[in-house]
Amino acid sequence: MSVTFLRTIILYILVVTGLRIMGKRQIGEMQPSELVVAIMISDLATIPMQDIGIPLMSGIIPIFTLIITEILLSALSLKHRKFRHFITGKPSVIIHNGKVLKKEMKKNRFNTDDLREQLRIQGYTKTENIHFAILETNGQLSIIPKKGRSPCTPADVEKIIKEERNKK
Amino acid sequence: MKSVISAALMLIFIIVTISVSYVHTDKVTSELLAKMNANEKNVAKNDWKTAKDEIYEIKRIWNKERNFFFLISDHALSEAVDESVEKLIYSVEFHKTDAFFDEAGTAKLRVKTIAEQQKFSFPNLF
Repeated sequence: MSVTFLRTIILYILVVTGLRIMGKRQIGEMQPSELVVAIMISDLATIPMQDIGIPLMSGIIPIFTLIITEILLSALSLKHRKFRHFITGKPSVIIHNGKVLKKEMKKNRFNTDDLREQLRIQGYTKTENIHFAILETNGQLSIIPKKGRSPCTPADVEKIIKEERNKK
Repeated sequence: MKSVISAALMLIFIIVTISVSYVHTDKVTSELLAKMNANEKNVAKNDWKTAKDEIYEIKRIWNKERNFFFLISDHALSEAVDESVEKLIYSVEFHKTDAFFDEAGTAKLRVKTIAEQQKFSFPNLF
């Protein structure tokens, strides 16, 4: 039991250190490759944690290898645009000038229900009000509304109230 | 930049660890196998005195490297070698030739498996 306890602490420190070395991006929104690395690291750490028959090294070496690969790929992505596009992909325009681009949606296996859901979450009910909807490489949908069609903000309300007051 | 330096240091650590463990495993397992072969020859010649000295030498080498093997290979396999060495000692102490040869074959196979598992080879890779 004491061995399991110590092994867990060692692996915990290792994984936390690894994620810290990989940087803040890992903790926030993940790119596909980062998600894969995070899942693999967590899985690799739990196996030698539970099974004391497996040498700790067979968990440590692959975890270190994944961290190194991830850091090196990130460094390369930073320098080379083409390489970055290869690893993370390119953003896709799903809606352009209110028109839904079915071909792009099909390419990204993004269905109309997903699109409607994302639009509702961001406060849009009609595609006509959208200038651009871009499916980002991390799977999030960015929406750029047409001029004057963006959802009302507290600043807008304040402006209207001021205008009303001035009229009076 | 700090991340890249950390990655480079980790890469050096991994390369050194793998190289050292590979070289050391190869050296120790070759030595153990050579001693086991010599031991078998002496048992075949009924030279039990020399065989006894040799088997205790094998045990000494194994005990010295035991922790290292537990660090790099499957614990069950290292425990199996522990058991085999004890059985070999028993067979040599009580002059049990058949039991000795049975166990010697198993012990050699186990030591070879430890060495084989660390090698950079096609079957290991896939």
